[in-house]
Amino acid sequence: MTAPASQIGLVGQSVKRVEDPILLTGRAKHIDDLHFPDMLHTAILRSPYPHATIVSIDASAALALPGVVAVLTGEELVNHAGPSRDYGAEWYALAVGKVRYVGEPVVAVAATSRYVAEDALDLIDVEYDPLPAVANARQAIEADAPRLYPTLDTNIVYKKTFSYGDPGRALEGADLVVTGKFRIPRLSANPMETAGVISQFDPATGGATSWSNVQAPAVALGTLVATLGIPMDRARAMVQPHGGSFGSKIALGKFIVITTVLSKLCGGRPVKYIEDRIEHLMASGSHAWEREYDVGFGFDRAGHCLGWRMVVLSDVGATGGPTQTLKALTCLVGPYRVRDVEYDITTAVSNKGGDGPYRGYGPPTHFLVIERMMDKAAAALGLDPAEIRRRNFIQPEQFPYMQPNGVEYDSGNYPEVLRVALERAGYEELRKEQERLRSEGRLAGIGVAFGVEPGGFRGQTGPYREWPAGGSLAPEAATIHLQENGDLVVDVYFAMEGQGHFTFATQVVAAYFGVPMERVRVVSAEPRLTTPSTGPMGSRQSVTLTFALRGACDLLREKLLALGAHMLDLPAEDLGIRDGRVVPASAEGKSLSLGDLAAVMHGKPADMPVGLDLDPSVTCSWTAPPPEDREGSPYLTYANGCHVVLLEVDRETGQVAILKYVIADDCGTRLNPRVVEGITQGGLAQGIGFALLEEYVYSEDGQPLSVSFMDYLLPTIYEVPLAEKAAVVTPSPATPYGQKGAGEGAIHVTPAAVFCAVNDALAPLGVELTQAPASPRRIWEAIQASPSSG
Amino acid sequence: MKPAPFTYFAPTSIEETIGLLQRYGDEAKILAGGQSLVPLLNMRLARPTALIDINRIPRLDEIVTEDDAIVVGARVTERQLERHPVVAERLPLLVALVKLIGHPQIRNRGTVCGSIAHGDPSAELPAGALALDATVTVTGPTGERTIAVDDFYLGYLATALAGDEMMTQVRFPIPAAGTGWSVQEVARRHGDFALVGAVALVRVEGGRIAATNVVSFGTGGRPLRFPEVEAKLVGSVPGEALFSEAAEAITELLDPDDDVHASAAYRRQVAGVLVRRALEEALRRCEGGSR
Ligand SMILES: Cc1cc2nc3c(=O)[nH]c(=O)nc-3n(C[C@H](O)[C@H](O)[C@H](O)COP(=O)(O)OP(=O)(O)OC[C@H]3O[C@@H](n4cnc5c(N)ncnc54)[C@H](O)[C@@H]3O)c2cc1C
Repeated sequence: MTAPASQIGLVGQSVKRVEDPILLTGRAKHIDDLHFPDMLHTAILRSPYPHATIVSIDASAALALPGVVAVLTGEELVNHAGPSRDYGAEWYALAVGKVRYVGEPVVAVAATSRYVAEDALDLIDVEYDPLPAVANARQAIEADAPRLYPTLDTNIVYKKTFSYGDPGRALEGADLVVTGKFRIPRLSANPMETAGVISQFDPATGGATSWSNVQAPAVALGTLVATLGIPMDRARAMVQPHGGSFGSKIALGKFIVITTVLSKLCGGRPVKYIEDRIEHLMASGSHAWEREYDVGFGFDRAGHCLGWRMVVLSDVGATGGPTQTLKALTCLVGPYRVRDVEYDITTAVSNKGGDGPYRGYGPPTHFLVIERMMDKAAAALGLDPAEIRRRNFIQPEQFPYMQPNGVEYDSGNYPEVLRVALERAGYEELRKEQERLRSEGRLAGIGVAFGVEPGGFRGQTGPYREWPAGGSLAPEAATIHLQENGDLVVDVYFAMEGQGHFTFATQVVAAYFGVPMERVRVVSAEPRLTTPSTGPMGSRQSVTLTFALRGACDLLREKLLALGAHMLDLPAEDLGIRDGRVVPASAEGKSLSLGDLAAVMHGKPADMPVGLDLDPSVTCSWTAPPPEDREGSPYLTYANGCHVVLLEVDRETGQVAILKYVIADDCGTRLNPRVVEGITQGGLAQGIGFALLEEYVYSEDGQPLSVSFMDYLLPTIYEVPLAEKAAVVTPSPATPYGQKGAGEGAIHVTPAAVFCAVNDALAPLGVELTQAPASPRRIWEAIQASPSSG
Repeated sequence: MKPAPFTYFAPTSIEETIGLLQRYGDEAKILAGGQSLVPLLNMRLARPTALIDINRIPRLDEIVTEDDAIVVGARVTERQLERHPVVAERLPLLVALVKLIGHPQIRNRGTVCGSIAHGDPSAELPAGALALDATVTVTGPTGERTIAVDDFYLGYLATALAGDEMMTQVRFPIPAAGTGWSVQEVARRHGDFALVGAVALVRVEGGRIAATNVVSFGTGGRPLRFPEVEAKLVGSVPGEALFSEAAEAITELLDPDDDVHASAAYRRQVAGVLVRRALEEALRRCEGGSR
C-alpha cells in the first residue's frame, strides 16, 4: 500500500494551491458565466402551500407575454420524464396533482431573459385546494396524520433498531444512568454560488447535453439516462467549476429534468436555470439534520461508559430518506470503547423542504449528543470532562478496531490527540481563568469535544446496504496524458470545487515522476459513462482520487519503461524513473527524459517494434476492494480530532462570545498541511453556524420563515474564531501515503464543543440547553428557568 | 429575484425630482443607496413603476459642520459620515451608530438620509437621530419644511413624508459640551440589524443629571423616547440603582413583537438591560461623570 520514498517528494509539502489564482481572481468559468446563442432562461413558479391539491393551472396569459417561449407543467412533464423514487415515496421534478411543501416547483417558464420569465410567473393562475399539513415528524408519525404519498400508507419512510451487544443489561447494571433529550434544527449548506444548469436537447439525435455545477457528475448522467430516457451514448453532462457545494449540489436532477424538457419543447434551444438564494433557502432539497434524540447512557463509578441507547426521530421534509441518519452507524461509538449500544431510527416525511446532503452527512449531531452525555456523566461523577474521555478512549494498540457493528476503524491515537489539544489550549490555566471569571459572576464555559471522521468513502457497503442502491461501490477515475514536450496533463472527472483536489493531484503526479509541479496540469474532463467515476463526497478524494492517480501513474510508468528499455537496449526491470527521466537502476550510462520518450510516442517512428504500446494516454478507474464480508465499513480511513473552546455567555442578554479555540487533529499524513488547515477552518465556520446561528424555522402550519439571509444566519468572519491548530500524525495503513480523508472533521466536532461549552457556562445556574442553535433567546430562556435567576 | 418592470429616471435637480414624484405619485420610489430598496424590488415586495435615482443631483453629497450641528445631505453615504474627521471629534455617537450598520460594502452605498427615510424600527441611525433631537428637511411642490424626527416617525415604516416630497437633509444637533453618550445593541451577528438596542445621552452638573435622552429601538414600530423616565432622571444623582429603576420603568412601557430571532419577552427584558448599560456607559463618558 505504501508509496516508495522516491515518489513522496512534494507530497506533504504546503505548496501553494493551484486552484487559487483562477478562483480568487474570479476567472473560473462558473455555470452562470456560460452564454450560448439563442439561450433561454428559466423561472420556476413554486408552491405557496405546504400541502394542497392542484385544481387547475392557467398559463395562457404567461404564454402570451412577449419573450415567453414555453411553459411547462407537471402534467406535461410526465410525458417526457420519469419520477424520482426514495424509500417508497415517488415524485416528479414539477408537482403532479398536489404539492407537498412550500417552494415545490409547480410550473416552469422558458423566456428570452430571466426578467421576462419572472414577469411571466406573475401571470400564471394556479388554483389550489389546501390540505391539512404535516408540520413535523411528531405529527407525521401519528396514526391519523394526513399522508404525503399515495404510494406509502404511512409517513414513516424508514424505521429500524440497530442493537449490538446487550444494551439493556448494560444500562440496568450501570452505577449511573444519564438521560438526555435533544433537538437539532434543520440547516443546510449555503455555498456562495447556488445551483445552476444549462440543458440542450438535440432534436436530430434525441440526445441531450447538460452543463451544470453538479457535485457528483454521475448523478447528472444518471438523470439524463434514467429519468429522461436519453440514449446512453448521446447523454453528456459537462461540469463547471463551483462556487462551493458542501453536498448541496449533488441533487440537481430536478433542474436537469426541467431544463431538458423545456429545451425539447423549444426546438432544442439551450435553456438555463440558476437557482436564486430564496429558492435555495426554501427548497434546495438539501435541508439536513432535523432530529430529536432521546438517549440514555450507562456508566460505572469510575466513569467507564458501559452502553447506551439512542432513539432518533428525524424529519426529512417532503423528500428524503434515512441515509444521513444511517451514517452514524459508520462511527457509531465515536472514539469510545463501548460495546453495548442501540441506535433506533425513525424517519418521517413532512410538508417541509426536502432533505439532502450537508458536509459531514449526519455525524455532527451524533457527536453532539455523545459528547454532551459524556459531560453530563462527568459532572455527575465529579470527573473532569477531559478525564472521562481519556478513560473511555479506544487505545492506540487496539487498532484496527472493530466496532460492535462490524465497522472497522483503521488507525488512531486518541489519547495523544487529546493530550496535544489540552496542552495547546493550556487547559489547566483555562480552568483557572474560568474560575476567576466565575468568581466575578461571569458565565464562562469550556468545551472539550472529540470526534472521528469516516473518510475515503468507498461505496454503499456495511450499514449503507440499507440505501436504495445498497451494495454498489464508488469508483474514481483519472487519466494522464503525456504531452509531446514531456509535460503531464491529468484529467479528473469532476469540477473544481476549491477544496484543493487539483493541488494534491498535481503534487502526487509530480512526485511520482519526479518533475516540478509546473510540468503537471490538472483539468476537469467531461465525465463519461464509460469511465466510471464518482466525484468528491464523503471525505474521499484525498484517498480515492490518489489511488486513481497512482493507478494511472503506474500504467504510464510501465509504458515508459518498456519504451525506454527498447531505446536504451536494457531490460525494463533494470530501469527506474527518477527526476523526470527513465534511468538505469545503476544510475550509470544513458538515460531518457520524459520529453525524449514523449517525442517517440507522439511521432511513432516506423522502426518501433510491433506490440509496443505507444499511446501517450492512460486511464485508471479505481474501485476500493469491497470489505470481505460486504458488511465492513463504507469508509477506508478514520481521522479524528479534539476541539477545546473557552467562551462566555452574557447572563443578561444570552449572547455568546468565543474567547479561545484550539483544534488538534489526526488525519494521518497531510498531503498538503496548508490545505488541511484551510478546510479545517472552513469546517469550523460551518460548525459555528450550526452551534450558534443557523436554523430553518417553519411556522406551525408549515410556512418557511427563514427564506433570506436576514433570517437564515450564516456565520461571518466576525463570528468565526481563527482556531489555533495542531497536528498529530498517525499514518493510515490503508492508503499510499498514510493519509486520511479530512474534509469533514471540523464540522463533526465544532457543534459538540461549542454546545458543551455553553452548557458548562450555564452549569452554575443549574440549567441546561438541549436545543441547537444556542441563540441568545434560547440561552436567555434557559437562564430565566434557573432557580437562581431570581 | 428580479424586479418587476419599472421606468428609471435620473433627475439632476430637486425640482425635477418633485415633478416626477407629482407625476407618478404612489407609483414612484426614490432610489438613494439602494441597500434597502433594491432587495425589496428584487423580492418583488415593492413594485414601483417609476424609480427616481437621486444620485445625480448636485450638492446633496455634502456634510456641513456648523457650530452646533452636523448637517448631512441626502446623498451622503454612511461611510462618508463614518470617516469624517470633524464628525468623529464632535459627534462620536454618529460614528459609533454607523459602525454598527452592516459591513463596509453596505455603508459604502447606503445613505444616512435613506436609512432615516426608510425608518426601519431596528435601525441604528433613526434611533440615534431621535436621541439627538435631529430634524429632517423635506422638499415638496410647495417648498421646504422641517420636521423633528420624533414627529417624522408615525409607525412601522410609516413617516410624515408625503408622496410628492423628498428628504433633502438631516440635521444632527451637537449635544452640550460634556455630554456622555452610548449605543448598545444585541444583534445575532456583527453587522445585523439590532434585535433590540438603546441609545442614551447623559449630562451631569454638580453631581446631578442635568439632561438625558433615552431611546429604545427594535422594540416597537419605530424608535421610542421616554419623556417621563427622562424627566425623573433629571435632577437625580446618577447611580446603579437609579439606572436600574429607569430601565425597569421603560421595560414596563414596551410592547415589542416576536420574530424568528427573538420573542417579545426577550426583547422587553433585554431592552431594559441595554437601557441600563447605555446609561452607565454614557455616564462614564460624561465630563465630571466618572466616579
Ligand atoms: C446586508 C445589509 C445589512 C444591513 N444592515 C443594516 C444595519 O445593521 N442597520 C441599519 O440601520 N441598516 C442596515 N442596512 C440598511 C442600510 O443601512 C441602508 O442603506 C439604509 O437603510 C437605506 O439607505 P439607502 O441609501 O440604501 O436607501 P434606499 O435603499 O435607496 O432607499 C430606502 C427607502 O428610503 C427611501 N428614500 C431614500 N432616500 C430618500 C430621500 N432622500 N427622500 C425620500 N425617500 C428616500 C426610498 O424610496 C426607499 O423607500 C443593511 C443593508 C444590507 C443590504
